[in-house]
Amino acid sequence: MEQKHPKIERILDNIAKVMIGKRHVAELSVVALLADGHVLLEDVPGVGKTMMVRALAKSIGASFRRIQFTPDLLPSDVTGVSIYNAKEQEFVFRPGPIMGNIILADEINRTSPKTQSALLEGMEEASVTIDGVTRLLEKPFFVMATQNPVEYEGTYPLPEAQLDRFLLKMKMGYPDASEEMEVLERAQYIPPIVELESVISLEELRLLQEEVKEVHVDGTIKRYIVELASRTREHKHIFLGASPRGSIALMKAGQAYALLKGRDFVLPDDIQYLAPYIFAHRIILKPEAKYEGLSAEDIVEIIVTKTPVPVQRLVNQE
Amino acid sequence: MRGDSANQSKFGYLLLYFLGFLLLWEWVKPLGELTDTGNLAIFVAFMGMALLLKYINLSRILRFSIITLYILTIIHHFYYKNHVLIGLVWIIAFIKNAAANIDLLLTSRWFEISNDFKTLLFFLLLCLMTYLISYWVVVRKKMLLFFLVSVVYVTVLDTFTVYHADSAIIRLIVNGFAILGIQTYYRTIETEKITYSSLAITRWMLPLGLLIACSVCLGFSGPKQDPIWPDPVPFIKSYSDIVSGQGTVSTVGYGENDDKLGGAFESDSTVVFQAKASVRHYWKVENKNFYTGKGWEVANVASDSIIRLPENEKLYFFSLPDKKKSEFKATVTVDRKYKHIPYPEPMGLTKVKAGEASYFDFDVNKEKILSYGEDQSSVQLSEYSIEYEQPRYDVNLLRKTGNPDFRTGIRLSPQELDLYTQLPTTVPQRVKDLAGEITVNKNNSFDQAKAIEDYFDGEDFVYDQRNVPFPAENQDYVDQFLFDTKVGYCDNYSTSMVVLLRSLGIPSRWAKGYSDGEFIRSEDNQNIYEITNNNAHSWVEVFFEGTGWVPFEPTKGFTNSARFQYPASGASSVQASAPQTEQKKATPVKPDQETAKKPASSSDTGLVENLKEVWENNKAWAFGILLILSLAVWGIYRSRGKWMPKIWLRIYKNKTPETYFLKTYPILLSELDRYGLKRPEGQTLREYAGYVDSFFYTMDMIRLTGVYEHMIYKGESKDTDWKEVHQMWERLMNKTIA
Repeated sequence: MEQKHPKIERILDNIAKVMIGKRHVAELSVVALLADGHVLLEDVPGVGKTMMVRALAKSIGASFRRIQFTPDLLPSDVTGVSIYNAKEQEFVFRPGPIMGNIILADEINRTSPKTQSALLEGMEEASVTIDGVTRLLEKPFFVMATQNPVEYEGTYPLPEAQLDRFLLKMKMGYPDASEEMEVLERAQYIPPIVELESVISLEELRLLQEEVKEVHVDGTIKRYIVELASRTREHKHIFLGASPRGSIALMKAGQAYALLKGRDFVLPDDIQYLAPYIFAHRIILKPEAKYEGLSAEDIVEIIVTKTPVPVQRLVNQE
Repeated sequence: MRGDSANQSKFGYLLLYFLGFLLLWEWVKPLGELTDTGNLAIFVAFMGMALLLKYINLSRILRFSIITLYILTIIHHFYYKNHVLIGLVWIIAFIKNAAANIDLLLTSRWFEISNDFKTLLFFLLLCLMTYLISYWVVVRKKMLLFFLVSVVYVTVLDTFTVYHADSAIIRLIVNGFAILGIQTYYRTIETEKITYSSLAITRWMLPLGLLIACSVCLGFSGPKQDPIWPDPVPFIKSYSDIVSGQGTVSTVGYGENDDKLGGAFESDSTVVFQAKASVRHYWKVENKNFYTGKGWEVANVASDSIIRLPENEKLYFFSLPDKKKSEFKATVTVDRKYKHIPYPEPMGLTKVKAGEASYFDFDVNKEKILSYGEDQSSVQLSEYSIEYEQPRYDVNLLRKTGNPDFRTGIRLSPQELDLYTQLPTTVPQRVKDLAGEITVNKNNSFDQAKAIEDYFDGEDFVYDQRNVPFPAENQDYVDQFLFDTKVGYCDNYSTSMVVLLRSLGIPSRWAKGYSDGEFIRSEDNQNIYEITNNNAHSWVEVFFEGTGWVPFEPTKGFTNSARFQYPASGASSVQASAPQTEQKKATPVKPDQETAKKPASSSDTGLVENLKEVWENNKAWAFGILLILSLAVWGIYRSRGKWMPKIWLRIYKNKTPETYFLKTYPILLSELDRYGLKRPEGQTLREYAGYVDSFFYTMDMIRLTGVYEHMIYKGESKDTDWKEVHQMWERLMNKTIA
């Protein structure tokens, strides 16, 4: 029954060569990449975040950049800077790490808001403005930011408005025992990442991104998405519900996920699967929910299970 | 923990055994009251012991020996005390006796069975019952049937015997509910494989206890309506009498036997005779004087009671010279022949003549006229003519009765007075009290009689020929009518009036014959009245000193045809009751029906009012029909699993699924839901399909769902084999047929 999209499957298989397990993380990353969005990974160090992004970058033959955010990092360290060339007697622009296809923004909450916003502007606008000159970023442009949820000292937590710019937020999680055994097994020899080759070209990726936009989202599904979003706004435990941008994100991700599953239309199943990843970081819980030990993901999942799935055509569509 | 739970379960079973014991006890309890079974305590103790032994789970042999020992000791104690307990002598005697009794049993001579054997049999029965109870408690864990049978047993006893189950029914309900509740708990534990926990027990038992307590308290303290239906026992009895050929739903008509009054009547419009007369009046056949508590018999007033009526002479026997009277003639043509001849009431017969009869005998005891032919055998006349006087009773004179200063030759002898004030001992005191209540402030016999006559016009009393039961075994006929049913026909009313009068010491008797009949046509300046079996009637005659016997009419809907002359102070002196005569047509209609019809036909509000009326009158029927209808609808709805899918299958049999699939798939969903495969509203079709397929071991649902998803989430139909889709749909629909 379940089909797969051959090209996307190639990417996922390629990633699976270096990432043991974690297929859902790879899938979601690809979904974000295809939907032209960005990912916020919230996890402790050492679970393979970098590996994940590098594998992804290598699979699509994209340029990979990594920015390690530190408190003293300046915006220009991210965007790039114009340096005076004495020989030529003019300022020459030296691009920063943001000028790549796939960027790993490690520990984004460690740097100052000023620097964060430099990155976030790039993410949102797909362009950066340096010295009054707006420079477009190369497509595809995909940021995978990571946050360490353990240490909060000396961090600058991302404000909600900024979080909204990430298409989805997910956790990596630890591998299970057998997976970890295999990780050790492989680590004994050459790191396999070095041998990884690209399986599709950037051009093909762009075509895939176009294909995502073609995936049919029926009125019933749109209604369903709207219903879910509006329920987050009415829920008693939620202080601030998902924004319309959240709804758009859910739809786009749904399209990408449907394509990943080899379908040219979105199912409620896709929406249900993606909703927690997309809504959880866009809502603000009331303190009561936290006291009850409910996380944002839990509440979104509760909303999903309580919202009626559309099982018939909308009347005005017939 | 395990030991703890085992203990709890053990305690639970002990409780169940105890409750079962109490339930059985309710069966034995009435025996002491209703049968000649004595020493019930011994049997109850036996039951308790037998159940306890079962509970302890002693070895079978040990249990058997203990029980046998107990039975033998008891039998010895009661029947063979002369012998030593530990000795063969009495045992051999007992066994011999038992053998003889078995012989009696086999030859169905139940009454000859000796007591010791009866005791043994009863013990055996109890053994069986205790075994059954332990079976229901431990193995089946169900006792609903026994509980229901117990309830029926107790209620039947309460209804049909003297046993009062007022408290027994409460005990039974509490006990039964407790048993059912506890057993449900154990059954659930067992079927669901739940481990015992003290928390679960409290969670179950606490609400159970509360529920029982609440419902019993509520039921006990709540207002209770009196039974709407009259006591069913007399009805059932009279019905069973009919079945066994003893009793009757008789047809109306003249009967000789009035030993046992009561029961329903079918109307019968067979013509008995036609009378050509100038005035309307009742036709009397005879009267009866001895009330037995169930009906009427004739006691002898005079030893030489038969008088031959003189031929071709005026019969001054009937005629009372002091009365103001009018003279009339009448010719009677008889269709249904009897030996007796009906004569006008109030009586004043002066002459009777018939071609077929050579002489007439008059029975003084019954005041009955019989006709005889030449050969001294009785003949049945087809025609006879009579001459008679109709008296006008002077109320002043009637009111003088009982006044010691009033001298008159017309009075009863002491023997007669005794007879006409006779009452059986079965008449309860409350009847006599009622007579006093009705006639309070009335100081003479006439006014008292009038008061009693009027009492029956009250709203409480209903004229009905059908819903009239026979009185119960120990019930007085009059008492039943006056206090229980208040529904009846002439016999009820007239007998009741006589009894009320007699309990005041007013001499009175019960007269029977026919009411005035129906006017047919005029002929030769006379009217022809037709008297049918429906006119068979009974009324009351009261004796007044100086006047004689005066008829009274207590029956609702009938009017006395006797004429009274009231003192001059009254506006109309001639006939006080005359205007009423015209209004109340003497046809016996159920009064409430008559009044109900009137406003319905005359009212302007029309249909709504009318419907309301119909509803009010037929509430019981309407409720019954509504109940049956709703039960039927409910039944059909409950069994929809059997027919709904078939109907759907038929409807969509030849429909191309491509166009109808958007309809048929949701039908399948709702049928699956009805079947019990519920889909939470947040579950997607795909997940649900997986669940359904795993339930039915098929792949159909997932494939169907794939097609359907394509249609609703993509908005276009999939290119697929629609025939196969339809087959899959049919297969799944068939699976939902319960």
